[in-house]
Amino acid sequence: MNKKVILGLIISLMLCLNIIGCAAPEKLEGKQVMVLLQEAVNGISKTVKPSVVYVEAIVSGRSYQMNGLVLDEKGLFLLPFAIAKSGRQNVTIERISVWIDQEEYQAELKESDTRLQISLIEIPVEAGEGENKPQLVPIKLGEPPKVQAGQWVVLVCNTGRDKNYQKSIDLGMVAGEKYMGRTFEEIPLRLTTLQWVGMPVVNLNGEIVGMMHQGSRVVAINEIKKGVDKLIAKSIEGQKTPATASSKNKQPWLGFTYGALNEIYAEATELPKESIQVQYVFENGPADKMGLQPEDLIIEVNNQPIRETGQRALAQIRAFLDPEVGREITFKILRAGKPLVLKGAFEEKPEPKTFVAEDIGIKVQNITDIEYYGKRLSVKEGVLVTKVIPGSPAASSGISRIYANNVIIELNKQPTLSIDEFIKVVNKIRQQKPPVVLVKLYKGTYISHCALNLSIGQEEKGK
Amino acid sequence: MKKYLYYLLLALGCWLWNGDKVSLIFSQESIPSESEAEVTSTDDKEVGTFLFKKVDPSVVTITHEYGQGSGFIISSDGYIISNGHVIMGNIHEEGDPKAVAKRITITLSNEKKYKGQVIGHSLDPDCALIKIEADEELSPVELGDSDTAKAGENAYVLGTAGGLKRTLTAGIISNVERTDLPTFTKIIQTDAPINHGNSGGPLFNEKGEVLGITTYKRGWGSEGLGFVIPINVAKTLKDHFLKYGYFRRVDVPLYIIQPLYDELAQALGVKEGVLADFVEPDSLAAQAGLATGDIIIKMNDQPISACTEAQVRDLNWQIVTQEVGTPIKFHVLRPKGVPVGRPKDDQLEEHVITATLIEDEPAIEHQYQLGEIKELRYDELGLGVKKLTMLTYYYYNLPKVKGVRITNVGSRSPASKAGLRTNDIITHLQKIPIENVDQFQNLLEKHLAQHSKYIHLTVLTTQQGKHISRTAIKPYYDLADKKVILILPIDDSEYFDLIKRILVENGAEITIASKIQEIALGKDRKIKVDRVISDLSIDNYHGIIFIGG
Repeated sequence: MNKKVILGLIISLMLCLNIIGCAAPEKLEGKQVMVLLQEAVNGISKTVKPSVVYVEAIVSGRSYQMNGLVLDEKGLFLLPFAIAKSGRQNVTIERISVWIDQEEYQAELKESDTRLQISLIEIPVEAGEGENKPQLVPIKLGEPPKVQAGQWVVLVCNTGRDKNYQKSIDLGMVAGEKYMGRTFEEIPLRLTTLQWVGMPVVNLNGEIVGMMHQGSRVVAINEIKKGVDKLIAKSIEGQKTPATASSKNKQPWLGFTYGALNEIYAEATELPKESIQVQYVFENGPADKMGLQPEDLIIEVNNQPIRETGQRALAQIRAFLDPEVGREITFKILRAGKPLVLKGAFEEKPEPKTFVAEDIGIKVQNITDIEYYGKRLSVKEGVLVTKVIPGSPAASSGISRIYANNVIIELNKQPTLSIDEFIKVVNKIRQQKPPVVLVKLYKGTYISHCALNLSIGQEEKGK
Repeated sequence: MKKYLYYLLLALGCWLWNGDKVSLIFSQESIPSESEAEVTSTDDKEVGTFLFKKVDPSVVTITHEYGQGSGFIISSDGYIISNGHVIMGNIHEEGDPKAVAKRITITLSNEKKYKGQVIGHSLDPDCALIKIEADEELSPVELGDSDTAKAGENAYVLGTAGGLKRTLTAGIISNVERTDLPTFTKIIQTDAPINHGNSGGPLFNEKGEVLGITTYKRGWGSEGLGFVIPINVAKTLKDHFLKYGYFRRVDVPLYIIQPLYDELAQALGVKEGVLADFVEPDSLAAQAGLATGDIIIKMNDQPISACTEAQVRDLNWQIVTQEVGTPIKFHVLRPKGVPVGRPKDDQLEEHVITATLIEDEPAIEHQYQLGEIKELRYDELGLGVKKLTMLTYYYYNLPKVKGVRITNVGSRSPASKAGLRTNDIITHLQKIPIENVDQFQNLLEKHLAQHSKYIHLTVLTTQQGKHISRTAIKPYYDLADKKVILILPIDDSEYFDLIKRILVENGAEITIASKIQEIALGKDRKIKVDRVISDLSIDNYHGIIFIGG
């Protein structure tokens, strides 16, 4: 045999043995598994921590603390907070502070997603130029990894400088399958000691699977990623056409109420359970214009079929609706068993015309179908009382007094069937200054009268 | 007149009723100050002992299967007055707020016991009339005149305070026209210590004249706030109970009155009268010519005026306690041109309205008052409904549609799974429009007897927005294919309706049997049985239920 061949064989044999030797799996002793786990957790915590910042927000006088996630090196962050547009008015964000490397920076709110309750905040570029520019490490929002029950996850938070306890990581476990929660997809976690809103939930490969949100719920990262992409796109759009103060507060509105289809009823009538039932359509709203009717069953929104039933169907349609003023929407409905396609678009929710009658001590607004339905009024002509100012004549007018949700139809014996009529009558009262004023109003379905003594309950003016 | 709609909002208060538990009590006489002590201490002691001797023989303890209270004898032939709630029966099971306890025992102060029979009762005003057949001489109380009661005068209470019989307590009358509680009439307030068990007992003055029935007290965190129904109210109710067996209220439905308090009178431009705050548009009152905003100045040619709530309640009492069919005349002031057009100027014109008083609808439940409307309840389906009276629409802010009102939905029951909620109105059953509760019951039981898999309902939801919703109840029919025989006594079957309903809900096939063909189910109710016992073979049945009577 050739000497080279033999040498080659021997070397290959040695290499093989070496490789086999190396490839032979080491038998891990019990303690070693734990050591590896500890190292993994520690490593993840070190990698992820720089992307988690401590944030304080002052909203309507109350302060909230939470964590934010770094989205880019220029100072864009994800905040697990948004002001719901509907419902409470006069909620204002007074200040948002972000701590980076123990320095406090003021951040501005850029865009919000009220369904996911997240916002984009930005530290203005001027902050920290030069040597003092903060070093930011963005969080990696890659392809959402698969989530399985039983997976171990690491929670990493940033408790800020002043905390007496310095707990910043925890080891948790995914306690079930990903599911559709009330408004977004959630991951059930075994209860952990860390409950910081905004902190990332990371698997043992260092990939983020979710974000801890309000109410100790963990939002699935696919929702967050989609939400962030949308918000960034919106903010780029917004930079092209700068939003005015009023357009920022535009509430998108379709003008109908809906509910989950009752499952027993669906069974009894052989209607699909995976649907949403229209309950009430507001007059002249977008839904009315597109031809939607009460009891229509919505089975598809923008070609996305409803696949859930009951309460989860509600969560699904909320996600599908994705309200935005001007956005078009297509519904596929079932009416009397026949399918129908309806098209329309979101409009701006009509703002009520309001007025404060200070001398009387009430805030009123006009009545549209929205209030007629929502507040269960019995008349549409009149002005709706939205607030009675404490201590005013309206609040002190004896046992049969004015309350919020009453509808005033006559004031000082003059009809007040619209807000304009009401304002005219109030101005006349201010000129004539009668000692007492008769009010005729609807309380629910019956009429009542009360008399206001306008000389009491007026604010003491400074002398 | 439904004036209490306004004042219910202010009411708090709790029941005075002894269930099975007995609460610790103590009786305390007002301790006179030192200077007073020198002058009147001996007098006080004598008044107290004199009163106890006088009133004690008339005060009785009332006990029955659900609790106990007090009462007092008002006539030597055995009539006793107490509270309506003292003799209340199992209202929940029967679904009837007017259910009465069935085994009432009256214990006199000498410990002799007699069976009590309820002649009539009302829960608001809370009053009951009971009769015993005594074989001894009884000592009735001396009835006073509650209109002469004065705040500040001494008041005494005798009753079974906290289960302790013949307990005398003393205090003063704190107020004679309390209207803040949701009671039909004004009531008298006292600070004499009152406890559970005192209900139905007398409150009397220094002369031993009974001024009222001790009924309510404000609990938890309050002291010395007790409330008493004026005896004059009880006197009128006693006559109603003797004549009709219940409080037969009359009125010209439907209008609500309000007192003309100072500013309101000024704003309306009148000095006296009472305001007709609201007149129901399709009601008899409207047809008679009464209009919203009318100022009533005369009733039956007598001038009337009410500037306080107490006066309104007195006026209302005068009207509702009359006889059915009595004519009534109102003189009202109304701005010229109204109600057809706008008022022409500030001039008020006088109009005359005549009408006839008719029997009023049963009262609705409100605050802690249970009302008088029966509830039709199907516990297996988890559904309870009541009829819709004129006042129900106004009190619950319901749209005026025909149907039945849902008043009870059992948790996790078929009704709750169908999405039904209290105060929604069922307007159709299996697409048939519902007119009243009886028709609803017949229709529903017909479908239950057929074992309909789904019972379709059309409901007007009223609590969150107002819209029509269609749903279906899927009953369980646990007794489907089971034949059950109900064996009834010849008369007065207890709980027959309830048992039959439970069986129907569960889908059982029911046969009613008795000794004879036609039996009486109670007062004025006769039915024909399906089988007579002699022709019965019990082998054909899965279950037998004997109903007691």
